[in-house]
Amino acid sequence: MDKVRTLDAVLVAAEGAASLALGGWSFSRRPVAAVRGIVAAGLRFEELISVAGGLETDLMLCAGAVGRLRGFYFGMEALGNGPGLRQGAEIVEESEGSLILGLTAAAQGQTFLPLHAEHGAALARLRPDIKPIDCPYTGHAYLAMPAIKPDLAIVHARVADRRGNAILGGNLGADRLLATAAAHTIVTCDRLVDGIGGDGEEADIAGLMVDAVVHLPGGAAPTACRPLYEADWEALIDYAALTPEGALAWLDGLAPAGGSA
Amino acid sequence: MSAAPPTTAEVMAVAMSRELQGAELVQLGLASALGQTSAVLAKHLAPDGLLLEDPAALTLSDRPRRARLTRSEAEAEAGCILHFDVTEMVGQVMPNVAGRMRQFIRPLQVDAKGRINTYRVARKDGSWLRVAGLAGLAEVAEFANPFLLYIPGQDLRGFVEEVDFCVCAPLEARAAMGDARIVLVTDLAVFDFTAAGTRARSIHPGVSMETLRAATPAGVELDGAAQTAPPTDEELRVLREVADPLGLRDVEFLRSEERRARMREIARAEAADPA
Repeated sequence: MDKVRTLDAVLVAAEGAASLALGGWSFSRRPVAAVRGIVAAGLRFEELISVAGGLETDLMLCAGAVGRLRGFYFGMEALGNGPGLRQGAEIVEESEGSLILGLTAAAQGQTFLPLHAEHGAALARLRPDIKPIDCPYTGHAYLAMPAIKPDLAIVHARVADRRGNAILGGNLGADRLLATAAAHTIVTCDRLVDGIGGDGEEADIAGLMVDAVVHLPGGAAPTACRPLYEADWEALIDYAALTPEGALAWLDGLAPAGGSA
Repeated sequence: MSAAPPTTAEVMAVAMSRELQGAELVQLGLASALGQTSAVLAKHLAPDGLLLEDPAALTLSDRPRRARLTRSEAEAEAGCILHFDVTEMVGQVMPNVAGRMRQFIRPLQVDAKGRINTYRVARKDGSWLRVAGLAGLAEVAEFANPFLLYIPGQDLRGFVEEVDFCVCAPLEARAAMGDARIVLVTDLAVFDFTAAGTRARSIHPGVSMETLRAATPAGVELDGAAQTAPPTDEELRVLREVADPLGLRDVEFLRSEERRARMREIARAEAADPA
């Protein structure tokens, strides 16, 4: 089944999705071109789920494309907070453990997974919605972390084929988890090939988990998609010092990701 | 010709690296120039049995490497043993290296009882300023031993009598194991936190007791602190020439435009010298 689509087509299909998860990690494989498409299309999501949110999350905030964030860390690491985070955001707090468990629960079709209560003491003070439970075998105290099922996940891959199989590259982030937790997954890719598996290189995400593939060469820039390109740190340093309005102009000024269906 | 005397950043990087030597797994820190520099230095100075985990690349490596601002992923991937994904690292690897891993963390606040705040601080008007997040600190508090902290500019806003919000309390988290310990390295001194109390272990060369006392909260014992052993010639040579030749260690001491300008210089130098 050929799942290759244009970005415009998949974003039209995404209208009405309440929650969005964006992939990538640190300054690698952030789906920046997809974010630019979301902003251009005027889409707005109630919640953005970020496993360590960076540039892509900050851009969504600058554009007003998201109502609230969910995650355990937001920022641009050594560059500090970007303009979107500096203007403030509603945040549903998570810890590393709770977010991973919530997404894993969704991927497995569970309604919750348990987090050691001692690992969730601070989280429980911020999240009164989280219910305590006791282990029926040992009596140990846990927090029942509810499943977190994004309506839509977008991840950027180094290579994808027309059936949706995707090679992320060395840095996997949490993208395999996002692709299995979300109700629908879109893979944008730097390189589009007819089929993966014939030359010995294996996919990180199976096409079975993917709804659509969008060919967007350079689609992670100015973050990296190694070994094809490194992060453009001069551009990232520039970005971190901008205002939200300046950030949107900066986004407009990025070289458009190419590609076709 | 003798080497230039050590800077504050170098005294800190060397003191921090000494705390990392002997660990089986050292995490470099995702937003931490000094954390990365000290980890890399420790691997050069005492390589046997010490593995590096790079949180930008999500790699495990046994190869001595350089500190990098913009090419850490490339540097980490060169010759790495394997890649983790986040799920594996958080859920499966860390619980299995409990007590054998170390990582320097820069807190927003730490108090005299060793409680850590990386989340938010109270403004004067009573509102909250959210700074970072909960991250995985509660897990690290149990799995890392000793729990390692650093503060490049020690003052009473960061080293406080009581944190505004407790993200984790490592002395409590490992209390059942009976070996709970926190080490804090600042620009002024090295501190030990144990169940028996908190004290200055050593004061850095050139720092007066009056300066230290003015920047340290009540409840921390200062009397009896030794002087921090200054970096040896070999430690300084490896730091300056091998582990961190571009001076990443200095970034955390800079602010605003000066910091951005320094990062641009490092970015250009690293682009010209890829891994």
